[in-house]
Amino acid sequence: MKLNRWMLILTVALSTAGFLLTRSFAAESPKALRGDPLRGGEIVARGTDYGVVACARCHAFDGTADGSSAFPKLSGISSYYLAKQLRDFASGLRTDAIMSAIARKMKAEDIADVSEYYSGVSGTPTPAPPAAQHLLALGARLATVGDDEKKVQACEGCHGAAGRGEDPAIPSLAGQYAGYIGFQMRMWKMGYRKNDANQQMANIARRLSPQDIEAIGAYFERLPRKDSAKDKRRP
Amino acid sequence: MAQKLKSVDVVVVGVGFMGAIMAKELAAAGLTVVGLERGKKRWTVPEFQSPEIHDELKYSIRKGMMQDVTREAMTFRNNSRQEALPIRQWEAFLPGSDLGGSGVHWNGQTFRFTEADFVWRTRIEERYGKDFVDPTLTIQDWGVTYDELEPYFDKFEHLLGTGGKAGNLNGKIQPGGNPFESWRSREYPNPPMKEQYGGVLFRKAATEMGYHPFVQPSSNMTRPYTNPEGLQLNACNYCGFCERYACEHFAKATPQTVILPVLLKNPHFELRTEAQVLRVNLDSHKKRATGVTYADATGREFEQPADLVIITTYAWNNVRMMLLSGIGKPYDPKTGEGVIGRNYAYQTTGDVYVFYDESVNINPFMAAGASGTLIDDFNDDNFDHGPHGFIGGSYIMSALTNGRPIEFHPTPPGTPDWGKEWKAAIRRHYNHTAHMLLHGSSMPTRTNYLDLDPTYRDAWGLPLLRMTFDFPENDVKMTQFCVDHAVEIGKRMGAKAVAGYPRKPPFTTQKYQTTHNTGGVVMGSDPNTSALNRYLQSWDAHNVFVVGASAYPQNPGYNPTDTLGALAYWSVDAIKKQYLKKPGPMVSA
Repeated sequence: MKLNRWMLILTVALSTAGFLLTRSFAAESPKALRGDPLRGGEIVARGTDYGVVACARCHAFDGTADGSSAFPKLSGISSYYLAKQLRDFASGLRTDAIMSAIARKMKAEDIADVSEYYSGVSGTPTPAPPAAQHLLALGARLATVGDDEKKVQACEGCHGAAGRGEDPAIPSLAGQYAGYIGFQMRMWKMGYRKNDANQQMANIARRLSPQDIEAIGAYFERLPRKDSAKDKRRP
Repeated sequence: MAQKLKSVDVVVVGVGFMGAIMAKELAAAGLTVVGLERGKKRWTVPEFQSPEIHDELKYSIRKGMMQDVTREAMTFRNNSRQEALPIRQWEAFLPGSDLGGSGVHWNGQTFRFTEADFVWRTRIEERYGKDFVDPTLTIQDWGVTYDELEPYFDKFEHLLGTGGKAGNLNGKIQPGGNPFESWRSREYPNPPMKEQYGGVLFRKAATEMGYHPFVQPSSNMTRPYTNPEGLQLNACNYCGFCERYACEHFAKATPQTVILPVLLKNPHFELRTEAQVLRVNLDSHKKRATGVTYADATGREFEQPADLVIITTYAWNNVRMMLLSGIGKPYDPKTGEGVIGRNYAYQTTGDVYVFYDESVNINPFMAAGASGTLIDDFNDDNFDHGPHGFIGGSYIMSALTNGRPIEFHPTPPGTPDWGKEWKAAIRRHYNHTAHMLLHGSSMPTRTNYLDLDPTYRDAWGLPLLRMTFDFPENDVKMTQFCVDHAVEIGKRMGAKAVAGYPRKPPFTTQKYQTTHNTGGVVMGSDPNTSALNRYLQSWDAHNVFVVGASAYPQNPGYNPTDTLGALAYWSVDAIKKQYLKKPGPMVSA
């Protein structure tokens, strides 16, 4: 009797374990694409002997970059999005004087590993430079409500409430440098950048004035950046 | 006593898609136009904002955008032996309210009817003989032909920015399009939508079986688009919240995105919202309308005199407005005489679910309202009906318009409807199930009709509309036939299990089908069997035009909106070119 009971418990335990194991494999099947963050960290720190420059030189170890706003923050952004941008830099779909050359030297696993590394780091908050109240109000309106005259939808309709992104495909904007957001918006607007689906961003950026773009950057820079390591919503 | 207002040239009752088109064209022609809308104003910014606009409970379950049943319901019964009762919650069909009407919450599915559809009785009798049609069906020709409407289809599709691939350009069959469609004079203004994965699997199977798959024409933008009115639309991002919702991205063709901003800028046009039109007023001979009477939000009544009255209040609301105003003879099912309420038809849909194992990820949430892949081989008169004993057909479309959590939970037959096993089944099948929609025709009968309810009244004390409807035997045979074929396709798609659900009588208002109610104020060439002439002009009061799917003598197996827009442009063109020069009947009875 006693034995039977133990047998029963053991059977239940084993089958539960088996079930969990199966489930986690099922859930992890897309992770075949997932990189190794430790190896990614090595590339971030040292680069590679075939010419990939150490990412941390510009983007810092915690993805906060150098505060100049010339280089974007990378923390809080999905590995999917980061890897896609690196592949686009490599293929020429997206171009940048510095990143295109680096990305072309990266192997597929380098891209996966580095992306995995930065998607998991916690950035450091940076102070936002002062901005006029009316600019912040305009930015808040465009970001959360949009503009009916210009047929521009709210940024947060895709980039998520409080600019926290819609992982994995749509990046977080919260806490990103206003200068970088503005630069990219001008790139979309002038037709230099076009690596999104359905020309969505170019179409929007074309309708925004320089002041609108400045306002959007100022608004998002003031929002708290998503902390990848702590955010449980991250897939 | 109603306060009498200053007379205008035109009053448009209902400012939805058709109302906006009619008003825009007439105001642009220099006429003073007043648009009376029972609902409130609403715009993409600020009203349609995510995440609130994706509130499934509010919009899908509680029908947040639909006609308010606490003020205006309708009653329903399956046949004249029953007592009709008010519908207290919309489910089978979802009539919209507020500015833009149902055009705000539609899916964007944009099919033209075919050459055969407009001469349906003639075509069927020519092909199968006079005795082939079930004598209880009251099918008839439209009084207008496809060739006459083609330029207006083209105009409406360019207004909408419809995306698709032509299957027949000026008579030449085009690879990749629908070979069964009637000719079109040029390509769609935009390319087709991206295919869903279920559509890819369907396309492969259908092609192997010798059918002709194509991507559904869609008025969800496939790229940024500026329409002929100069309005800019953005590209759709396939969020899966089209039908029952408003689009926050300016990416769905709606009155708000394709026409209303232009209309409202015209100084000849005035929009009055929360204006509930109670009736169209007639002169003492009942041959001419003198205007309309409406109640504002406080209940005060106004009389708005007008030289021209255009009724665009949704299919069966149009029928009710005609009955409340006493225009045209009400239909009597006992004698078969009368025209208002006659030839009410609907849609006969079926469903097929294709269940895969867990290695096949369908991703139902990556969808737009019109991103299906379909075949037209079993629709319309595209195949020989001779051996089958019914008329009409269905398109068979691999389509998931959404993967919304409350609404979408397919389970294989035999799964319990609740409890632990049900929960396990929906978790197992959510991402591994493809769906085929069979969107079938609906034929009118002598006994399916609309009239005023003798008992129940609305918030203004006026009788509700009463619907008497059940699926005709012809349509039941049709849906079974089409579902049988779709199940075969499903098996070919590599499924573990396929479940087919043909539509079965009795019709119930508590199971969603489509919002494609048609007929009741039909167009035609004989005043004894139609309420309107070929220009949508009332045979009885020449300055009343009724625009809507109420004009369809029967409902083919395609979604109705494209034809609705074509008819509106056709009608308003005739008003501008003929009627305004010489007001009077444009066709002699």
